[in-house]
Amino acid sequence: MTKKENKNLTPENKKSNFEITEKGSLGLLAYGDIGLRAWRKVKQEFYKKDSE
Amino acid sequence: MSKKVLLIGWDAADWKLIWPLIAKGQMPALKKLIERGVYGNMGTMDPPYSPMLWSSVATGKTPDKHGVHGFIEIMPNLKGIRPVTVNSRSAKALWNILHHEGYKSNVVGWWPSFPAEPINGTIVSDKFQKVKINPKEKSPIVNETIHPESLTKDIHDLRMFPWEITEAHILPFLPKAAEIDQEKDKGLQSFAKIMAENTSVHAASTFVMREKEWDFTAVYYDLIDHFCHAFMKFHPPKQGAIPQNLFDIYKDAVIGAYRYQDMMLERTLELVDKDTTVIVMSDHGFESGHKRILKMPKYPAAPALEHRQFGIFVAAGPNIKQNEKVFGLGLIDIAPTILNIFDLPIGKDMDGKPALDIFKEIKIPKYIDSWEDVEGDFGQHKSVEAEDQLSDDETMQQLVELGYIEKPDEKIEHAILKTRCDLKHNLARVYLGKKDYEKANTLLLELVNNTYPVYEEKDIKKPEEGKPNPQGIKAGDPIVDIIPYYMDLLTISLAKKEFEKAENYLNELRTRDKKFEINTYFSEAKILLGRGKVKKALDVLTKAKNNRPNSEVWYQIGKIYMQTNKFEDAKEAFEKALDFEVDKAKFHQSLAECLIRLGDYEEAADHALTSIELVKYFPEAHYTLGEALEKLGDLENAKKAYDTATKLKPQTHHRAEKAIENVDEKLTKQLDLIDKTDYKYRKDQIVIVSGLPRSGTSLMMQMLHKGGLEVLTDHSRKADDSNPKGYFEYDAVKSIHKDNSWLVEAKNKSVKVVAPLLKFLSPEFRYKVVFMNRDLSEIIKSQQKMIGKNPDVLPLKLFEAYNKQMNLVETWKLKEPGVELIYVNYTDVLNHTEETLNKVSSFIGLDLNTPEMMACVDQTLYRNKV
Repeated sequence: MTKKENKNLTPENKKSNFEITEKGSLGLLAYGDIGLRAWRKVKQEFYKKDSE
Repeated sequence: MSKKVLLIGWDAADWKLIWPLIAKGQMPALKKLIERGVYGNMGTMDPPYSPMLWSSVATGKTPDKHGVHGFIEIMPNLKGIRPVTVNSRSAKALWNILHHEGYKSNVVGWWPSFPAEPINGTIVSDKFQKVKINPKEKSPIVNETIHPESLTKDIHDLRMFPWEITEAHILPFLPKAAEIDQEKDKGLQSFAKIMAENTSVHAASTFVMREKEWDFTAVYYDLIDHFCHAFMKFHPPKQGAIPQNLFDIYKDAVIGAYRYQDMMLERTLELVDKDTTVIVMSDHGFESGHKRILKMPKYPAAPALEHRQFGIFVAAGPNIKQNEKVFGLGLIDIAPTILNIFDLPIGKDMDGKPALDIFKEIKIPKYIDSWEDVEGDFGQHKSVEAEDQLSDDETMQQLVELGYIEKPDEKIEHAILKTRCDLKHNLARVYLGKKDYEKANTLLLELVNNTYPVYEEKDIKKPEEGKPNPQGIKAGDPIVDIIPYYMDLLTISLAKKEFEKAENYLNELRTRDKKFEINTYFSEAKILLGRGKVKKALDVLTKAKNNRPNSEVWYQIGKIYMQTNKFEDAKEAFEKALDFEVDKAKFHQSLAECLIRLGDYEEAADHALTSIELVKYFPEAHYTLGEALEKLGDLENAKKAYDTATKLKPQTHHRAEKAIENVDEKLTKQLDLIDKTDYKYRKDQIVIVSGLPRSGTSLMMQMLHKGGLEVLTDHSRKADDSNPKGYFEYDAVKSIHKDNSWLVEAKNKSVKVVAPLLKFLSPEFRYKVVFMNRDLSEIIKSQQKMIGKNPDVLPLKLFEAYNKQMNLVETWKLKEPGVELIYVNYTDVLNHTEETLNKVSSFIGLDLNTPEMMACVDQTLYRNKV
C-alpha cells in the first residue's frame, strides 16, 4: 500500500490523497490500525532503502 | 432493530472548548453526531477521580458500591501498592452482564480493565498502551493484558511508542516545537507519551471493531485529560505568570488534542452502521478560564481541582431523538441506559436511572433486584492475582507525573499505610457526596484518630543546593497528612449545623496549617451565621470578596442577604455570582428563590428551569420551580415539579410533600368559592402559639388548654406577677435551633414558640400558628415594666427590631408550605372574645370549648394599654 487517505488538521486538505511519507501524519494515526500499519510499512521500506 | 452500542469515553472533554471548535468547523465528526442525535451536560461526582468515575459509568453504581476508590490499590498479598486494577471492582460491569446474557463486547483501554476479564468478546486492557519511554528498554505485553490471549499476536504491533512520534505528528499541535529546550522542558516528552498511548488505544479499537463480531464496544481515551493537565495552563488567554515563550510554544496544544480526538472519532464512526447507537461522553470537564490553577497545592490528587463539574454527553442512533438537548444526566445513568437499549433489566441497586428522554420510542425499563445476586457465568475473574509490585513502575510514574498520586514512599509499609488512608478518605468523600454524613464521619474520625508513624531524618532526601526541600517534609512530621480529613469533618459539621464542632475543627485546622494556606472564609462565615452573628459573617465574606472576588463568595453573600430578607441585595449578589460562573445550578436555584420573594415569578421559573437543565438530581431546584409555578397559577405543573422534588430527595422532602397537599386542595377547590374561614383540621397538626414576648401568648395557651387542646409544657417557668396564671412554656423550645426532634411530642397539641424561633420548626410537620398581635408600643411597655425599666421610655432600636421580626414572620409563612397562620389581636381577645375565639377554633379545625376559653379573660391583667 503506497497511497492512503490522509487527514491532517486542516479541513481543506482532509480528503486529498497523497503519498505516505516515512514521517507519517496525524491523519494516518487517526485512521487506526490500518493507518498505523501502513505508515510503519512505508517507514520500514524507506529506512531499508536508505541503508542499502 | 439493531441493538449495537458503541460507548466512547473522552476523559475531561468539556463543552466550553468544544463549541467554539465546532463553530469553526474543527470538530466535524462530533458535529455530525450531534446533528443526528442528542447532546447535553454530563454531571460528575465527587471525588472526581477518573478510575472511580469510569467504574461508575461501567456499573451504574457509586464507588461505595463498585469498590474502586482511587488511582492505586493495595496488592492482595499486602506486600505493596500498584495502579488500580479490575480486582478492586466488586460490582459487575456492563460487559459482565452482557456476557451473561449472550452478547459480545469489545472493551479497549477502560480505566481500570487490567487484568482483562474472560468475557464473551475482547478486552484490550489499560495496560496495553503503557510502554517504556526509553527505546532501549523492552515493553513486553504481560499476561492478562489482552483477552483472549490469542488476540495478542494480532494486535501486539498496534502499540505506538513515544519515540516513534515525528515532526509530522508534533507540528500541527506545536508549530514552534523546535524552540523547546528539551534539556529543561519535558513538555515534548509528555506530549509524545500521551499521543503514543492514545494512538495505541485507537488502533486496537479500530482493529477489534473491524475484525470481531460485537454487540457492545467501549473505548476509553485519556488524551484530552492528560493534555489538559500538561498544557491547559498555556491555553489562551495567557495567564500572567506564564512566560511568553512557553505560551507561544504550547498555546495550541489542548485545542490540538480535541481536534485529533475528533479525527479519531471520524474513523471510528466509519466502522459502525446507522443502526448502531453511539454515545460519546466525558466524566468531567476541565477548567479553561480564570479558575485554572497555575501552582498546584501539595496534596494527593490536587490536579482534580481543575476538573469541572460538567462533562459532555452526545448520543445518536436509530432510536435516539434528533437535534435535542438533554438535561441533567449523571455518570451513573449510562449503564442503566445501555441496559435499557439491550432490553435487559436494570439493577434496583444501581444508583443511576435510564435516560429515557433521549429515546424516540421509550421501552419501559425492566428491573431486577440486583445483578450481583444473579448466579452464573459473568466472564469475571475466578481469583484475585497478586501481581509483582515492581511490574508497573511506569504507570505509577505517570500517575505521579500527572500529580494524581504522591511519589510512593520507598518504605513499602509507609506506602501501604498512605494508600490505605487515601482510599478510605476517598470513600468518605463518596459518602459525603451522597450526603450520608454518618458513614463519612465515621471513616474520617477513624482517620484523624489513628496514630501515624513519623518521618525520620534518614527518610528525608537532602534537597539540591539552593533548592527547597522537594518533599516539603521534615523529620518528625507524620507520614500521613490529616489536614484534608479535618477539612471534610468541618464540612460535615457545617452541613449538620453543629457549629460548636465546626469551630473546633476550624481551630484544629488553623493550628495544624501553620502557613494558613487553606481558605477558611466560608467556614468561618457559616459558623458565625449559625450562631446568629449575621453582620460578622457578612463582614468576613465582604473581606474575602474585596480580597479576591469569585463566584462562591458572591453566592455566600447572597445566601446571607436571603436569610436577612434583603432580597434586592441577595438578587444582586446571585447575579454577580452568575457573572463569574454562569453554569452553576445552585446559583440559578438561589436566584430563583430570591425572585419568588421579590414577586418576579416568571423570571424565577426561568432560573429554576436553567438550574434543572444543569443538574437534574437537584430537589431544591424542582421545589423552587414548583413554588414559582404555583405563584403563577400553573398548579398542574407546580404539582409535577413538587412531585419530582419528593422523588429525588435522598431523604423525604417534607416541604414538597406539604406543597403537593396544598396544590391538590387548590385544584379540587378551584371552582368553588373559597371560604377563607373554612379551615381544615390536619392530621397530627401542631398548634403553635406565637408572637413577640408579652403579646398575650400565655393567655392564648391558657385558653387553648381550657378549650380542650392538650398543651405541651413542662411547667418549668412558674407563674408570677407578670403572668399570674402561668406561662405554659416548654423548655426544649429555647434550644430548638439545635434540636427540634421533640416536635414529634407536640403532634395534636399546642406549644408556645416565640416569633424569632419559628424558623427552626421542622418542615416535617403541619403547623397551625396562632400569632398574637399587640400594638408594638404596648408590648414594649409591658416588657420594660416586667424587667423593671421605665415603661414610658420606648427604646427605638427595640421597636425597629420587632418590626423587622414581624416582617420575617410574614416571609416565613409565605415560603413554608406546611404552615398556616392567623393573626389574633390581643385587644380583640379581650374586647371581642367570643368572636375571636370562634375564629381561633375554626382555624385550628377542632370544636373547642369556647365558654371555658372565654372564662380565662381577666381584664385586670390588661395593664399596659396605650
